[in-house]
Amino acid sequence: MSTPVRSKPKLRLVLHDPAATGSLLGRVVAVAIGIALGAAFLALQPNVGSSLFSASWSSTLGSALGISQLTQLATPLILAGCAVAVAARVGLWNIGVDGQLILGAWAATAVGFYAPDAIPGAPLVVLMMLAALLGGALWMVVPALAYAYARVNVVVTTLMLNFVAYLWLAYWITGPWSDPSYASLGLSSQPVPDRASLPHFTVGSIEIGVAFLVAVAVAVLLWAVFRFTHHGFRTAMAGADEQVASYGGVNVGRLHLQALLASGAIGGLVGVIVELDRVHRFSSSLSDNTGYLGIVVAALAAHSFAGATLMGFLIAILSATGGALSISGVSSSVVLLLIGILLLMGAFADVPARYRLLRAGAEEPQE
Amino acid sequence: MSWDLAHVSLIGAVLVAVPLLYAALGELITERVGVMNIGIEGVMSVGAAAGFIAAVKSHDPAVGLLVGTAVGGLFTLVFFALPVLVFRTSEILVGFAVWFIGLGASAQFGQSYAQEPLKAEIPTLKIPLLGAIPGIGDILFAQPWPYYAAVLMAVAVWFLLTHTAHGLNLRGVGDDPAASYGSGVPVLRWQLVYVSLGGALMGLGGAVVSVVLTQHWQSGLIAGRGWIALALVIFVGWRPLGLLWATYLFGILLTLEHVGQAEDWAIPAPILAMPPYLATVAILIVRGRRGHRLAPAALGTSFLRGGR
Amino acid sequence: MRKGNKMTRTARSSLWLLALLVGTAMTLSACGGGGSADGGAKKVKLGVLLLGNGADDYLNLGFRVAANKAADEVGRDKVDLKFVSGVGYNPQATALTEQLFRQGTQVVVDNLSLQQLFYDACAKYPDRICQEEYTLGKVPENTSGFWWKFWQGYYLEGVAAGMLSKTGVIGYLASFKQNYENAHMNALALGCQSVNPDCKVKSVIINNWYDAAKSTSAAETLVNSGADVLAQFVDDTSSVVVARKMSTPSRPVWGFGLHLTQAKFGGDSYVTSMLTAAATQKEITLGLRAALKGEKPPKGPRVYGIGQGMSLGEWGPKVPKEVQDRVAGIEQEIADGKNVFVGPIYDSKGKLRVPEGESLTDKYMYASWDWRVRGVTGG
Repeated sequence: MSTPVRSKPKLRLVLHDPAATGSLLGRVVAVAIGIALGAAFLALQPNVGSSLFSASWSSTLGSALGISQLTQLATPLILAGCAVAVAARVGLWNIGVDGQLILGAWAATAVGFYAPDAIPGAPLVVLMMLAALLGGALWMVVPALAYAYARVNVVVTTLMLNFVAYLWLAYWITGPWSDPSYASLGLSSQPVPDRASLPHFTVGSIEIGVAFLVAVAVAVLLWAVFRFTHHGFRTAMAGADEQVASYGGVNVGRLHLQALLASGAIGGLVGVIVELDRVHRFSSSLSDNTGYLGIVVAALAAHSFAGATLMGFLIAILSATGGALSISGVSSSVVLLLIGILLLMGAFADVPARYRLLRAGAEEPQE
Repeated sequence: MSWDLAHVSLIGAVLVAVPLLYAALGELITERVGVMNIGIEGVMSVGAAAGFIAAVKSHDPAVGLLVGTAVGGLFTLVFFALPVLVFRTSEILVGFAVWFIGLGASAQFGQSYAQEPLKAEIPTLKIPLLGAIPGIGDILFAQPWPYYAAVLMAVAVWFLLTHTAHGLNLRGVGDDPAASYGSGVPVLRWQLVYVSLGGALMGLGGAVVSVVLTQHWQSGLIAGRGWIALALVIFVGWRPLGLLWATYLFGILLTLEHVGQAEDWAIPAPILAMPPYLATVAILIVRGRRGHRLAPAALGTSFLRGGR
Repeated sequence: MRKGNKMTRTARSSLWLLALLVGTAMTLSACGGGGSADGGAKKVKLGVLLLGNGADDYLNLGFRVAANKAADEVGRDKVDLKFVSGVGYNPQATALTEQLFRQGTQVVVDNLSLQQLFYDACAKYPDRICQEEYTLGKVPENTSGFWWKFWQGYYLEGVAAGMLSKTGVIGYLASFKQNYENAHMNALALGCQSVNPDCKVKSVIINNWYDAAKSTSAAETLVNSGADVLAQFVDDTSSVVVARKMSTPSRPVWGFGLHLTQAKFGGDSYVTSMLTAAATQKEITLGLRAALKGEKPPKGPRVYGIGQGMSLGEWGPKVPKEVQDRVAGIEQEIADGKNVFVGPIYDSKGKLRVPEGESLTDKYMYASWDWRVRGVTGG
């Protein structure tokens, strides 16, 4: 280890652990650079006044309205992040949350339409959510079985089924469920009954939807399941190393199947929660690239459910800041650029942890 | 549907498939060296905007395609290859970053060209003799040159990967980078080169959309084609020649959606648009396990590299 | 090792958040909290929400032109104009609208027809003015709607198409299956059939508001299946570009644009465009004037037709004089109040829907036309 130094000590950068996830300092620096880059870029834009930054602040964490809106924006992102994370824990990527949320909302809407009037609001909402779980899981059945029995790549099957789901939505809302008295240019079905909605309540002057609490509850529940049950342990094993898990007596195939179906079910919840919270119709408004952002959330959170809750909030802040910027006259394309740069910086946050500065000739320290 | 309509539709479907072929080929090369770039959509957008701007300025579509290729490659090198390969950042996060940055940058820098017309036609090139084959001659052998270039490129990639020592080493990089490194292959350098080349092809695919297909540019032009390319690579089991028929099949099914409507088939339009996606899933399932074994062995690991 | 990893995972998350907050706060203080700089004369704040699921299309361009002209009309010094681009059909649109109000915006124009997503915000600020493209049914007190009588424009295009077409088939690119799309293709067919009784309209649905590559391919398919005139409601240039690309001396193909002139895309194949920006300008001026006086604009929906701010634009270089004259004549008649949608009108199954002597009202064609006239086929 301590070879005598002959000349001046030369330093070299050595990749120490390619999978290490970040030091604290690394993260702070990376995010600060990201924000500085973004701010510098914005300062170069025309029509950007000095009020821009205060506007961004007051429309996110700087006001009661901002915080209320953040909880609303974060709700589907948290759920989508959890959905992706469940599958990612066994090493599979569910790119199809957008499809599952559409089918989940479709099933829930069907319940909303055809449930007898005698069923009061609360049970109806619960029924609709159950239908959504089922709908999302059913939309995942084909990809899950195909993977479990024939190792058909989940990325492709779930991704392709997204396109099918968009068309399925278009079919129902321009066909059987179309509402000629609400011919929005954005597409929507007839409304579900008024009583099928999740209430909002206020804490101080901050308005919070029950939908948000549901999302957080799902995250907590998942955390508990994976933390305290045998099932969670097996999943962790399978995700870490399939072969080792198999030797350890874990039925990896069944675990994959379960994880994918659970992921699909939670994905199914994403759409109905937005529907019950705000939209009240089966509609193209239920998703705003939510499934794709869910992947970002899960990846940033390193598949942790607590992390997904925080990261869902972070993406909500980004997206609300984007909204504030576009109100300030910054074009929406710049907003996309900024989100991209911040994601890039987020990825860079892991870098410092993976390298060690070593003296030339020194051995890399062993784990 | 008349035979004539079927025939001209099959001719049109070829050009619909070309951008997918370029983009998927780019992703295929990328994945063959063990890296997955899911930001295809972003790279294509950048290529489409840059290519269109260059074509408008130079009045020459060939210049546009060339610039789209170069910018696609450079963009991928800077925003994807360097962060992922040199700085070891997470492929999935950086891939998404590339998607957003590509969409945003192309919209921002292309904004003033959204109302610019491009009137530089790429003429149809009919190949002597082959072009005269009845039935298929004018489908496969009477198209603009970017189509022939795409087919030749696919064949070239196939030849490189399966019939040359270099290609064998490349596949080694994708299957077992550590072993390759041990046997003296400059893994990092090759990955940088081929991931960037892959990006160049994606950029070219985007430029084909704006310069050849629509002759018009607006933000949002790529509209999901990058994601389809991503799926098609896995669909064909990472085999370049497979892409030839797979992209064409996709092109035909995409065209069929419009033919069916124009011919007043009694099927709702959204349902008529589903077959390309359903067929992909169905064929994958039918092919089953054989598809899985074709994947570059190290691909999954690198996909998760930053994940846990 | 495992434990350490877990800790950094949570730490990572919270630090991200913290760093973002600190960063924002730092930049904020560095900028000295400029505040709003609208001191001096009282200005009306106008916000225009522009559709943006990726595309900055011709509808948006029309709104940018119209809002700027409206601001000029009431006086630039009295208007503080903001465009909010990239708005989608999702709950964030509600949040954006609310933020606009909170910043003191008095008039908000919605060019995407957000409906409930817009009303949720408008209802919370009853003292402000909301103007929305295409409203239907119940709207909040402070919200008024507007739209264009596209059916009149498509009728005129149909007349021109009937005179230009050799095959007697018009291709139409639709966005989604909706009643207003029926009105467009029906009007095309009726206009065309007033010249050529056997005229047919073939429509193809794109299932999207903007996908130029798809609409290009659809337009080509329409030409392949017999159409030699192309019209569209998909907000791009595909109809015009494809007409130019597929035109041959022996078989000319013609294309119509939408919202703004698209002459430079179509070359010799260009017929004309339906222009809508002047009507939009009227509507926005109405809102601005009302806001300046502290009133509300009259309840809508106002539907602007030919002669009321909607018109056909300049003619393409190769459109024969007789076509221009005839269409201009009918355009004048419609502007003077003539209803061209008169019976007898048969539906696509041959049933008589509008008997001789009766006519269709604008109100009906606005949103209720749920059947297709004879000669209209396709998706």
